[in-house]
Amino acid sequence: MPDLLVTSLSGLRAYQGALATTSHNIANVGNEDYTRQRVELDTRPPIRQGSAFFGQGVDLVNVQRIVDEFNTANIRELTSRSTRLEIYASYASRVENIIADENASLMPALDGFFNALNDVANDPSADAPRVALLGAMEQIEHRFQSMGTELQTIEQEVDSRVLFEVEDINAITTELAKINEAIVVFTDFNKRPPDLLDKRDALLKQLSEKIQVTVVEQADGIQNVLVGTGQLLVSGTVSNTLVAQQDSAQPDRLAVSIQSTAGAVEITGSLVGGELGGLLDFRNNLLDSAQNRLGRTAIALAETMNAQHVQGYDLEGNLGANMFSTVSTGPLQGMFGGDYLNNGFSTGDVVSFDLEFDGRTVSVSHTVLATDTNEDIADALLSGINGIDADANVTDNGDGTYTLAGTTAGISLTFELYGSNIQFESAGGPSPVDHNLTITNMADSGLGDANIELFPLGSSSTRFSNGVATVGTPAVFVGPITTAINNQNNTGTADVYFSITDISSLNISDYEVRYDGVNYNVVRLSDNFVEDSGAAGPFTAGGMQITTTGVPAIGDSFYISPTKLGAVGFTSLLTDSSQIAAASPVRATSNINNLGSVEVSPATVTDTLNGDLASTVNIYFDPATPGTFDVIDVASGFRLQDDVVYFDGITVNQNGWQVQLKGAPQNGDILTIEENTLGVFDNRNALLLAGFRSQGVLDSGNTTFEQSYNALVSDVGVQTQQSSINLQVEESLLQSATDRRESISGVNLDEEAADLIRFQQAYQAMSRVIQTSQELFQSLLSAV
Amino acid sequence: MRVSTALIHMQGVRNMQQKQADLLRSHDQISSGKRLLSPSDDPSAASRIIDLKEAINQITQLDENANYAIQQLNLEEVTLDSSNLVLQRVRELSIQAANTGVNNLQSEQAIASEVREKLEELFDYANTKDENGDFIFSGFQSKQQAFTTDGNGNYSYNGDEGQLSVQIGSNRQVVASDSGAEVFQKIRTGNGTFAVDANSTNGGTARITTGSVISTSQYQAHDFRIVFDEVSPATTPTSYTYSVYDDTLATGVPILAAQPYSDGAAIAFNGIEVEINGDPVDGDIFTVEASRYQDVFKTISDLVGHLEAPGTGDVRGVIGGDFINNGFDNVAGDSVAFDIDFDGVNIPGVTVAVGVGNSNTVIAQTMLDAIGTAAGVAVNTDGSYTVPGTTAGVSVTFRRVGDNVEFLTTGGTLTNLNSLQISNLADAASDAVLDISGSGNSVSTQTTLDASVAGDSATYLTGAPHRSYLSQQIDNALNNIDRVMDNIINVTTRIGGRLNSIDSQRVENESKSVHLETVRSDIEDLDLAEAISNMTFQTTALQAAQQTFVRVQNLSLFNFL
Repeated sequence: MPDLLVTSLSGLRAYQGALATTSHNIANVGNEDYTRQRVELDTRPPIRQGSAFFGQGVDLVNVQRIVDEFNTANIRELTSRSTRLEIYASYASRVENIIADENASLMPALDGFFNALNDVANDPSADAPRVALLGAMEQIEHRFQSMGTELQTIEQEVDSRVLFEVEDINAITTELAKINEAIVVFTDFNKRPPDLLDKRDALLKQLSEKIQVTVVEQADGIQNVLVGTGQLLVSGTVSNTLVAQQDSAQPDRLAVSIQSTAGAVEITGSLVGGELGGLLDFRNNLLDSAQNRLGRTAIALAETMNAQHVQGYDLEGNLGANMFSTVSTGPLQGMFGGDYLNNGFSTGDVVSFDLEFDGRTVSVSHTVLATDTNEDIADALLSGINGIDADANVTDNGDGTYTLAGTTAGISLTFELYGSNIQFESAGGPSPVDHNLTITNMADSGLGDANIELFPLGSSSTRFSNGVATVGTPAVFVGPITTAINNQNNTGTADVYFSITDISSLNISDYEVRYDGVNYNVVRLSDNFVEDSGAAGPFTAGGMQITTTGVPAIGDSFYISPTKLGAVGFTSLLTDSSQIAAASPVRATSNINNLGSVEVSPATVTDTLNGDLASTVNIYFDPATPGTFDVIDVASGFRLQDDVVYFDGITVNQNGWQVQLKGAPQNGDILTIEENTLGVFDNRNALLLAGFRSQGVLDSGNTTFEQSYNALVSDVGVQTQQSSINLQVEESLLQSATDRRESISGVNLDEEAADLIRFQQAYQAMSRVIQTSQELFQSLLSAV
Repeated sequence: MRVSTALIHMQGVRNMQQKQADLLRSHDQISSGKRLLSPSDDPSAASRIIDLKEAINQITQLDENANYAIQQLNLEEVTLDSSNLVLQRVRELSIQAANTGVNNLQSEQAIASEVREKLEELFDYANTKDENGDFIFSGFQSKQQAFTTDGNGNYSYNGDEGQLSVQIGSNRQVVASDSGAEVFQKIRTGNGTFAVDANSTNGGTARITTGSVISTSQYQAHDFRIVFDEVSPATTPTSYTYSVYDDTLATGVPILAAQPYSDGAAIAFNGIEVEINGDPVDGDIFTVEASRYQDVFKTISDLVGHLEAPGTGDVRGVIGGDFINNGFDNVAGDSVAFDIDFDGVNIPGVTVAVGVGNSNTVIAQTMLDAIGTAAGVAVNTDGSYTVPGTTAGVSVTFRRVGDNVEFLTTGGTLTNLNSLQISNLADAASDAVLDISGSGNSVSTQTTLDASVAGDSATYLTGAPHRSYLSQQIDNALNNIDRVMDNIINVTTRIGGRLNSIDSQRVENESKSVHLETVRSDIEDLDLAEAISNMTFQTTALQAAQQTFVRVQNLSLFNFL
């Protein structure tokens, strides 16, 4: 016979445990990581007495977690996905706010700029619209810079967050390794401490918020945590640390690598999900493209406006200067010379100097004659006996231009006469040997007072070290050149240089020049397309000219970010309202004594760098050959074009301008094209500048500035919208998974209350059994 | 399904949060009045809005440009209207002056002075400045005064042919200014193709008509001269022939030689036709030149000059008379002497030796030959003599015509009048008398020169304008003024056309702008009624969620333990 007392005692103990567990459940009702626990009761083995088996009571065999492991894994994955989207969407909407704010975005400034240009065009001689235009230019500068800077701030913030995330991840994985260690002690699969398992699940969920992980459970209860493409973050009781360090290709940002006993492996590219994955995604997909798009718009605006502005005449009758500056663009371009006769080139002096470019030295000298004009001197310096043309590396192209071949294949510098100056322009990209043009070793046999003036030219970003070269003081034209970033892992000695030369092909992708052991490959990173390749530069890709120098090693790479800094570097250069070049440099008139009805269209400029642009030229209908006209340089009387057959509507090109003739000429009629001196009411250049508002400039002339900026807004808008829609989807998925978890593992107070009542009743009943047992005993005793 | 206590709580909170978020969004929408609050609300719509706003902004600016162009063109139009009124008055005055029958020198002077005032007024209009101090008729060089004068009737244009274009449509520019050259300077003289004129020294009363082109294919822009010659031997009445020379080719050979002249008959050559009316005299010259550009100021200034000037430069006169009956004794013989003064050249004591029985013709020839013997006198192939003056290019040529000696100065100008003086006539009997008369537009101070009067001298001057010549000049001036007025009316019409096209462009811009604004508003703006009703609904929903939450939270079994 079983002992009644023993049986009831077992019951008391069991229900005490059950009550304790219920109380534990109730106590943890507010703990969201808690999994409700249930006691497992088991009947004690019966005792056989005779033919009957008697039960011996109950045993509390286990306290069980009620959990669905698959759902837990699902929640982890959904958590990673939604935290990734959460951080992505929050940063995306910050970028969106920067670029789409009605007042702070680029559009009001861009509109203001073009409106101001229109106002200048309406009243080109008045000062007020010009001052307003300067203000509008500053406004554009301010917008570009502040938007660029804000994006940079976000980039830095993302970087420092990456650092924090990595630290958090390391803290969590260390903890996880410790819990693994604690759990492995309990070898029985069914007897693991449920609260420890809860703790591990909670840590894994926290980790999933940071980064998407894969959890693999071993038979001994240890959970290994894998990240990226299978790198072990937690391996048994050991955790591997993540390290955030400078990216080897782009040192201005952080990359993540995993540190294990085998060494460090960079895994930035394979990290997905979680806050860290979201940050990296945002940086690569949205921020980079936003910065590049904004930068490209800035560069395009600066370059386009500059290129047109330098074709005009300002109020003082000088060719326009650059309106804006941004990143270095264009070829090496400029001119030197000046007013020689007043600059120490005295009669009888032998003046000599050297020109240095791309490893070449061209020695030039000239003996000043009493009859020399400034133009004669410039001519002699360019193509005289001891002129530039005399150098063995210089080719006479036959059209007044002379080309110096550099020591680097494909790179050259072409010289041309421009009034009393010698103008030059490089081709083939930035010279890797010496991209500058240096005027040095100047000597003057006379008083030693000769000097040469330097003028940067054109839409390029060519600058100079000092305005004059004198005896003893060389001067340098510093060409626009940017050095591609050497990958930190490069082992070769090569360098890569680039300069933006063609706005219409400039795109928003970054580029990488990779050396494969035989060839350099210029890779467009947006789609990994190889745009150009070869054993050495110059290369052309994405509107850039790229040159190389030195000896590369296999696997070396060079990072090119052509547009990223366009916006932050955007500056307005004009300070004086009279510098705005609203006029065209030339004008056309018909002679007052003309008998015929021939008329000439306003001259348009086709080449501002033509040295004869401002020369006065007559179109003369020579009576000697009726029906034809000659184009005559008035100063020299030289016939530039002879006996051109006239027809109504004929276009005449000369000296960098173009005119159209209409009507019926009579013999002896004269049309004159001359420098537009005092032409303060001329707005032709301002109209052309203003016309760029609705003119395609980017993407082979298909995209206007407004469209380019609009593309940025809609790109960011779409990404923000998508990330927030996806976030909603993921959140609701996570929500239902969490609901499921709650439904399985959550504590229901009513249920616990009911349990409480149930177990209390059982306990009370057990107590009653003991009392009964005692009464039985008493009755037995009294019976004795 | 099993429900945990936390789940009930979480879902209640989530519901309320969702409803609060909706409410906040409605609140933002209503307070900003916009349906779309950020591009991510609807990226394609946001991109459309930027495009639309940019387009609207551009149109607004184009409208401002158009306003500016209108302002500029209105100023020009007003100026041109005023100029036209001035020209109208000049034209009236010219017609008045042309009525030579009733005018005298005094009335002509009065007309001249009014025309001069009008000229100055017109000159001021041509130099109109806009509110910025820019000369509106100086082309690109708006800080240069458009027209200046040297004070001697010569005007120059200091601007250029630049015109200001204003952008009024996205692909449309309108010209908002006209150069002074176009308005006031580049005006063809005559009929626009060629201009006729009478030589200032013409002695006859013939005048030439404006003429017209009858064959454009034959027409060449050359300069021609029609020269009249008296038919020799003389007929009664005297008849004339004319020859036409091409001065551009300057071959010296007439293209039409010795054509008989009949009053008013068409003279046709070079694809053109002109008429000459009236009575020419031998040597009269008419010119038919390809039209040149002549500025309006020169036209009016010349007119004033002709009205004001006493003469037209060259001096022409006759010395002679009935010698035999005027004390030139051909019975006993006589020696008559006189002095000639011309442009600083003094020919003293021209002595005419009158032989016994000399006829008047012989005496006249003797007188001519006597002049020819003076120092520095050149003999011409036709037997005439030329005396050069001290001024380069100024000379006087003497020849005999019938019984008289005639002379003609050349090279004189309006400002450099060359008179010819004859004085100190003397003969043995002190009874010689010379008949003195100017011809053409020249007058002489005396009709006779008398040897009996000591110190008697006669001066030939360019006299009051030759009536026919003045009429011809007034005709020409009227012609030119009409062409100027035509030109100004053309320019004004063009301005009107531009203003019209600006108007139509503005209407187009306006309707485009309204359309774009409607589209933008449809995309971007909020339907306020709908939004407010939404918000009311959302408020109710939130309240319901809150009440439900509180109710459900209150339910617990523990309440009953």
